[in-house]
Amino acid sequence: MSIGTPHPQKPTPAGAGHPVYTPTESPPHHTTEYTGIMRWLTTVDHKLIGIMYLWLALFAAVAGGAMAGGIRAQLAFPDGIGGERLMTPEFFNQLTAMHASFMIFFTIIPAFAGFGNYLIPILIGARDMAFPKMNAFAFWLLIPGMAIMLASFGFGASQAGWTAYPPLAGSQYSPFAGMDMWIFGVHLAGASSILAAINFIVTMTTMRAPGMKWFRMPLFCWATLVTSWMVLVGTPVLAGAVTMLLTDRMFGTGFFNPAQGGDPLLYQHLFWFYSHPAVYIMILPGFGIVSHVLASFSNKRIFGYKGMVYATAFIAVVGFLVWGHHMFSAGMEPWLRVYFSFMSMLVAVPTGIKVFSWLATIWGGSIQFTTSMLFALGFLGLFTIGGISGVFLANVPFDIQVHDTYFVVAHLHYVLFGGSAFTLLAGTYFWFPKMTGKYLSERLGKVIFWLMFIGMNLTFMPMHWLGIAGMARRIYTYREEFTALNQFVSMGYLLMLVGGLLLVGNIIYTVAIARRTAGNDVWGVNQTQQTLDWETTSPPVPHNFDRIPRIA
Amino acid sequence: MATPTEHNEEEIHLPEPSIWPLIVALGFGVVPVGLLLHVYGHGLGIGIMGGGALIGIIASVAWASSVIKEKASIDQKWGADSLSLGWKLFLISEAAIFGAFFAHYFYIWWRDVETWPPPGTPSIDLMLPAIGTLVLITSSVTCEFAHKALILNRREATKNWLLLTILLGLAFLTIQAYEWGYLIYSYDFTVATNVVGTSFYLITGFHGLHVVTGLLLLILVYSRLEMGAFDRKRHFSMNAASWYWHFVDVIWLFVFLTVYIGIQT
Repeated sequence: MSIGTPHPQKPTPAGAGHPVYTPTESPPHHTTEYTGIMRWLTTVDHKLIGIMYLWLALFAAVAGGAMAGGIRAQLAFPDGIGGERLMTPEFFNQLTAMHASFMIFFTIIPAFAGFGNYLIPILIGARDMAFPKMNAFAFWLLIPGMAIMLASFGFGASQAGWTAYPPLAGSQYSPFAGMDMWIFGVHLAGASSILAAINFIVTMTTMRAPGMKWFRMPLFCWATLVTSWMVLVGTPVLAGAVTMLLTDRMFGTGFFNPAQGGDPLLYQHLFWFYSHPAVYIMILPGFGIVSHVLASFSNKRIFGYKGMVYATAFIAVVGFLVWGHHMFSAGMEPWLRVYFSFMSMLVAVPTGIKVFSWLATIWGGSIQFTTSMLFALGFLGLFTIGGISGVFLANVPFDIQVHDTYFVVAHLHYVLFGGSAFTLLAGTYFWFPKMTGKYLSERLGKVIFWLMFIGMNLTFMPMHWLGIAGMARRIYTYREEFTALNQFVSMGYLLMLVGGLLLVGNIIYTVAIARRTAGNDVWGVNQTQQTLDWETTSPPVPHNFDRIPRIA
Repeated sequence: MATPTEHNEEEIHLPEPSIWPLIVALGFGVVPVGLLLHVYGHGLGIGIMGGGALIGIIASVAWASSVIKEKASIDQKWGADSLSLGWKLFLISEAAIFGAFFAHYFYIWWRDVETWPPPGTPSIDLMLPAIGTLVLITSSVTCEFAHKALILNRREATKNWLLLTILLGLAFLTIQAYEWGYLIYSYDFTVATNVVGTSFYLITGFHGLHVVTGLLLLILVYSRLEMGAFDRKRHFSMNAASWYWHFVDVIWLFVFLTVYIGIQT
């Protein structure tokens, strides 16, 4: 037992000696039952919705990964092969914009929503989310959102990056319908996030099982709760900002048009007021996931449970006060630069608390190197690198030097790929058997981990040097001396591509063909962890628990 | 914060599956496609937009009535807690959208304070908007009377106060529409005139959209009262509609104090 405050207490069934879940002869039936595809289209079950979120995220990850492949191919051969260009500069710009948009709005955020949907009701001992139909609605909104964004390739997709700054994203420089389609895609994804956030907050506030006090909620629940508050306050501001952009484009309003007295800089403020917190929206649930994984496979309780909760909340609050550090080179009062610089460095404090608590959790534990654990440990190292380069970037003089260079690209991929994506993979390997009753191949999983880990470092580590040497991001070409390093970086991408394809293949194979072998306590960790996900069957019955557990 | 309430352990109520969330999402998802087609000069645009919206609205009504039916059949004690919290959170997110528009407006004001208001801005007569403000505040009071009457179980009085609220809301919208027309035709003051015009029409227009939504909610409550729904304890729709109406009212006070009076100074 570690020094930390123990988190969830042992659930004691109402009738002593009986397990919480006992299979019933006749599970409750609806008056209407659907089968086949209709079962998915009409479902309001948080577990099925969660799985649909995860499939959607996987699809978007494959699409976004393919776009990354296009980017890397072009940068490996900026002058083409044999005098033949691989793509037009315009298409390259579209790829960078859409790669980021897909990975952010349709991969990472929906994937965490998927895990949240599947796990939150189970972890707090509820039968479903508070608003099951709204839950389904929030998911379905993503379908037209993603369809519109994907279809925009046919109508001159956005070339303005995922940030869509005016005037570049305005009607003068982006006169194509694809830019408007991008905006609508963001609207629909944003509406979906807000509805999901409302649902999470209400579910955790009103539907916790008897005895599941706030400070007994597992850390993944806390992470999702804090994230949901950030979405609730931040995402509407993004919606407002892109709406202004849209009316400027379509109806000649002057929000960001200096000729009418507007100010393009203001878009950047409004955009980053959401989009900096979005960075935490994309990592805090991952923090929750690795807290489960690291503790489970160290055979210990999480270290410093309450400190972790407070650190998460502190990151969220400070996260709303640092947006200006994306705009140091955009023109800003010197005292504001000092403020944003200081606050940005302050984020390292609660993040440090979390990193050291994870280290204390695995310290002296009896560690099991499962694939899930490998991804969680990989996350710890990679995220720390990304965090440290983040402190570099918080320094105004350094930031101005490397602004819009590959140093920033390296930094953000260490936190978003080495961070968010690795936590998602850790969570996938950890809870996949709970969701399906089937184990993903551990042997293949380790191969995938090393391909990803090595490929990731080969790809993104050299970008730090490229950036400091002055290679600009979002440009289809570069100075000649960068060629060798760029080709090296593209080789790293190939390793990750192989890893990614193996993973997708393994998931499809396992879902379709493998047999169910998982018991309730999939990894044999319930003895130490005592979370409710290991108290029900794998996969859980539609109503999760026959009796609502009481937490003693 | 609310404490977790007891679940009924003996009965397991799982919500019925429903196709409506999917249909609503797809219906409203088609609307932007139609809008784009229209803006880029395709003849079918308006039709597709209207069709999508119509499908979305019809499916929403079907969804709402299925929920009402379902809820009526089970004990929804814990459901009411969740609903009211969820509705409040929704209002917070609405306030944040207004926040973005106000932030834009205040920033411009602060930046141009020396030459405020920018050239091209007419001096708006405050008489009409002041009347509108009074009308909207009164409607908030009458809405509260309706709510209190329902708690006292005086259903006829509830309906009358609601009707008055709805009429006052319509009066407000009329005043607003008249004022827009007046500004556009007499002063040629439009969204494109300058950034203040942009803010003025977008903020008041977005607020007007919320008034329309609030009116629809009040009408929904009124017709459910006609159908005999609600009792003195269980009337979440009434609570929700009245909160929404007060919310719209508070936002308007902000609009009046900062946009109308602010443009003058």
